[in-house]
Amino acid sequence: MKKRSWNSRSGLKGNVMADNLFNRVGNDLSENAITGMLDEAIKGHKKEDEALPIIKMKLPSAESTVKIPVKAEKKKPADSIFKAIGGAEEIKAPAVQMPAIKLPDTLTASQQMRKRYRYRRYGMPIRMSTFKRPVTPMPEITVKDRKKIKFHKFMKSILGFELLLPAVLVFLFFSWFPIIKTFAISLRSFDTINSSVFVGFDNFARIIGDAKFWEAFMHSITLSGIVVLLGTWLPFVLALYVYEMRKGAGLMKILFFIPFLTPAVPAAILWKWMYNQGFGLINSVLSFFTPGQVNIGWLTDPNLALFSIAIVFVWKNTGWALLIYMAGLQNIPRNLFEDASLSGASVGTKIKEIILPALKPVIMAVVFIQIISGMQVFTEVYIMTNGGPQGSSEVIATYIYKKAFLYMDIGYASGVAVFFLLLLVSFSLVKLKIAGKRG
Amino acid sequence: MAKRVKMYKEETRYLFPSYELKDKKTRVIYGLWGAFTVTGAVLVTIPFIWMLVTAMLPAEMIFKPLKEVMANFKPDASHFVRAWEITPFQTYLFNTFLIALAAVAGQILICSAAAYSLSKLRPPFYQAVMLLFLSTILIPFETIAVPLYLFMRDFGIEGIFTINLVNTYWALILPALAAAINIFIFKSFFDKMPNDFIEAARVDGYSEISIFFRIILPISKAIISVMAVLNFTTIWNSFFWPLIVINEPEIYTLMLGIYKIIEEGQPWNVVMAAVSISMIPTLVLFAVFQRQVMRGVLFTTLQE
Repeated sequence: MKKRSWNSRSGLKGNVMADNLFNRVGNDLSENAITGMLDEAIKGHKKEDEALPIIKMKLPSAESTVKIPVKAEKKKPADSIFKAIGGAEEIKAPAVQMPAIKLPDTLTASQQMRKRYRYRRYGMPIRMSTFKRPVTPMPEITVKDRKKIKFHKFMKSILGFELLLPAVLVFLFFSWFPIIKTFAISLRSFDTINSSVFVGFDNFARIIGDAKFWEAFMHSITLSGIVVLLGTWLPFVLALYVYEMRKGAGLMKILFFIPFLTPAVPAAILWKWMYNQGFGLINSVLSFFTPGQVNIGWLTDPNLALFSIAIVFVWKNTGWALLIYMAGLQNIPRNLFEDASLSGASVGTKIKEIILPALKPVIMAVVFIQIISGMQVFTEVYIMTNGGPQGSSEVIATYIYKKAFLYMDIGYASGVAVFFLLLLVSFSLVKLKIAGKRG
Repeated sequence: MAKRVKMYKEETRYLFPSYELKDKKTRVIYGLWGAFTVTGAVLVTIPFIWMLVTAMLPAEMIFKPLKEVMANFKPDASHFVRAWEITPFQTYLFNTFLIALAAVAGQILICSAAAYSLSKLRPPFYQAVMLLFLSTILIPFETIAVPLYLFMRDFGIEGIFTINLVNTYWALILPALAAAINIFIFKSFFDKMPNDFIEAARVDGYSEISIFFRIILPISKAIISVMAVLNFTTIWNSFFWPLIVINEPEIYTLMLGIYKIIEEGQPWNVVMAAVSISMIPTLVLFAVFQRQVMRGVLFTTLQE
């Protein structure tokens, strides 16, 4: 165990010094020898300060004690501006009793306060300095500068307009202006494309009485109904399993996604061939399983045409919905399923209690987009049936197209377009309201 | 490390974890479900296979029962050559590429600039402008097609100067520029971007336009690629508007050209060959930009 040194700050060093001393002197210890050694050691040591305190520490002598000087009381100058300070007795003991001082009225409130404070603190008022700060010369503002400042302020206020302007122009000409014009045209009747007459709400009256329009309208509703019925739960079921797969999930996703990628025109042509009554693949395959040739007119039967088109639409959009469902599934925390399994939940319970509530917003989005895109379908119908046998697959979009560009009944077509627009916008508003309610 | 990853992967089944698959009933459900999914995937791809098969059938084999076709099927690629010969695919592809590229470039520039302005600079009345942009998302294109066509016929300001833009590239490019969904996707991207870049550049004395072009656009390459691919496919696939505005075969887009083939009454094998040729660019685009396409689809859906 090491000895504790006399100076904790020097630590080991003190020990070393003592050891050295002991080695040199050995057993022959006389007082003189020790003092000589100590002096030598102390002088040789670089850090004298460390050793010095022991030797130099003395009590201070009586002469050197500091006397705290007592402040002599000062008399107030009699001829200061404060002539009105009470009596002479009060001046002697200002700390005990503060006299009310009267200050000249020319001073401001803050100056008076300052005076009073000084008086209370030091017992005497300090004279206000009459020094005035010199006015720094300001640059003169010319008319030109003022204009410049105004310009900069203006530029700052319209900051960002220059970047917004192209979009506003484009939207003005190709979106907002046509929307307004649709309403305007719907109130006119066109003989040719260049001459028109204002007819008021005639077109709308004609639309209400037009059985063909209502047929097309009902077909659109039916189509989007079928699309929603099939195109919502089918991708959901598929997505649940594809998300479950260990291998090949990516491949499955891509396989289902390819129909969505194929442009509508090739897809429609392809399905027209698939649905071919005599030699299409579907009828050929069906005739494998049934005796005799199957002869279903998928696109030529008025009862089936709309359904066949809806199937193509579902085929095309399944991959899209699958992708969105899978993105939604990825956000569900895994441990929920583990907890459910531990408490013995079945597959159905897991879907009902965990997945459906979590995916509700995604499902709502898919449903609404399916409805709206089902209402807007044009290409598939136009290519596959062009309104179908006896108008059995006419939808609103093809009806508008035919009225406007084949029969050149532009005013009427615009009337239908206005109707269609209001319908879809109200759909969207309902959707927004539901989404807003959910938060 | 690899082993750990594998162990983690084994737990990724959430509806049918492995300890529950020991139950026979669960296993049956799992198997049936899997069979359903795989069948679905096969059914979804069958039309494409059938398309290729038809394209390779000789003319006399098309209208024969399936059994006979399957028995003596000899692939014959000559119809692809014939389809290429009878349709000016080069012109169609050139037209479509030109239109799509020009429209996409314009869209990205205009919409991202507007989105940046709405998100970071916020000029007066920006909320009203945003609402006006938003309202155009809800409006279906079919409803504005008629006035837009009339506008394209007499493009310009009435009484001062008008040009007929029908049957030109401009008729396809210009209306495609007004795509409000882009603005909103860009805006949501810029909203998440910190302001530090912009402020630093402003201190350095950049003007707002050069901040946008030199700092914001280079930073947001990821979203730009997504939106570019998405808009490219949209314009590539568009059919309704070209059908109205384009009548001359020289300016046909690919989709119109394909549609005209079927109108001409070509035999099905040639039609199918042409259709399969027309699908190649889209599939190549998807193969190259798979991530961008999928992300773009997700973005647009989640925005709406």
